[in-house]
Amino acid sequence: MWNYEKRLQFPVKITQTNPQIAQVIISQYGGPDGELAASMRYLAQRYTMPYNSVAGLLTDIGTEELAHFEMICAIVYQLTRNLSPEEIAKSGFDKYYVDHTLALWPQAAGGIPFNACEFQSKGDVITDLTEDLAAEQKARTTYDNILRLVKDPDVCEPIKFLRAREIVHFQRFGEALRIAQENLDSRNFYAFNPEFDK
Amino acid sequence: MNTGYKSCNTDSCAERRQLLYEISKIDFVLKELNLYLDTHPYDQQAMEAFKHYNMAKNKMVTEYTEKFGPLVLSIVDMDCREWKWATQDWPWEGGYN
Amino acid sequence: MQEWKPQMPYMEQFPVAMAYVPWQKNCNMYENLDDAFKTGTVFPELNKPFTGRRVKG
Repeated sequence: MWNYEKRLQFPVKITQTNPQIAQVIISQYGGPDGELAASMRYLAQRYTMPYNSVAGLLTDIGTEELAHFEMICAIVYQLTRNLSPEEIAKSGFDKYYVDHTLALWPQAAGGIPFNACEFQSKGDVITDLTEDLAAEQKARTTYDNILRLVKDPDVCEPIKFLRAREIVHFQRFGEALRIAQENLDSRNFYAFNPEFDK
Repeated sequence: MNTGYKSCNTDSCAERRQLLYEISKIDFVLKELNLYLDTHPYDQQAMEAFKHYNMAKNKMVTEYTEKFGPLVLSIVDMDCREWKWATQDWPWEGGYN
Repeated sequence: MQEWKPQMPYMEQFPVAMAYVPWQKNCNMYENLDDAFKTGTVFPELNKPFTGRRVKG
């Protein structure tokens, strides 16, 4: 089960609002390659994972991603705090605001709402770990894209931190795949699915 | 425009901010060791490091709770006049963290 | 184009049709934990920052 620590994993202290960049960064909350999708993906895949240390890794990274979407929400919240109706109208943030005011709601930058179709738990060890490797790279690419657009150092610092975490997670999922391979026959890794076949 | 983030410049604020930063930094080291150990479960050196940093973090969290207010429900200084867990600011406000 | 010759011992250890990420061998941590925290990893080997520029040469 989960406990909560009353702090962010990495500080977020933004002094200048910027609704334009908030609309872009929200993709790392509700977008297909965002932190919420990552968390739900790993936490869903862990139940049928037959190797304890890999189930442990999925739990621990899945939990860390919850702290990451909390940071993204704090960034978007601070970037849109105290906005006036004029600033909202001028920035293009009006389309989000009309349905949600200044509340956080998980959607991609383009408007597609968060949904479970954005991730998979396929129930095959190799497939799910390969999906997870891809997920971390997609998240890293999204952060690269954000870093090209953001100039405010108060925003860059937490974004760079989150990007670095994706690379570490990629390494760990790669190691988890190596663990899975060691438990399978290297003459044919695909002979059976250890999550299902007897 | 300004986000309205409440900056505080007293000595007490600075001490609180610094202690919370130290807790976050040590907890981050713990997270890295945690993930490393998940895929390297027999690395004795990493386990020793985890034990060391875990003790340091717990000590700092207890100190922070006594001086400033609760960070976790398992260590709540029971001042029955106020349920600080709920009434103190939440971390997304950007005050101390 | 240079012909790529597979190295047999390598291929025995890493059969085809599978993805492999090397094990992290260098487990040194940053001495300065403030640097580690700001960077986003305690392992310098895993620090791969984004520059947005190609490296020349």
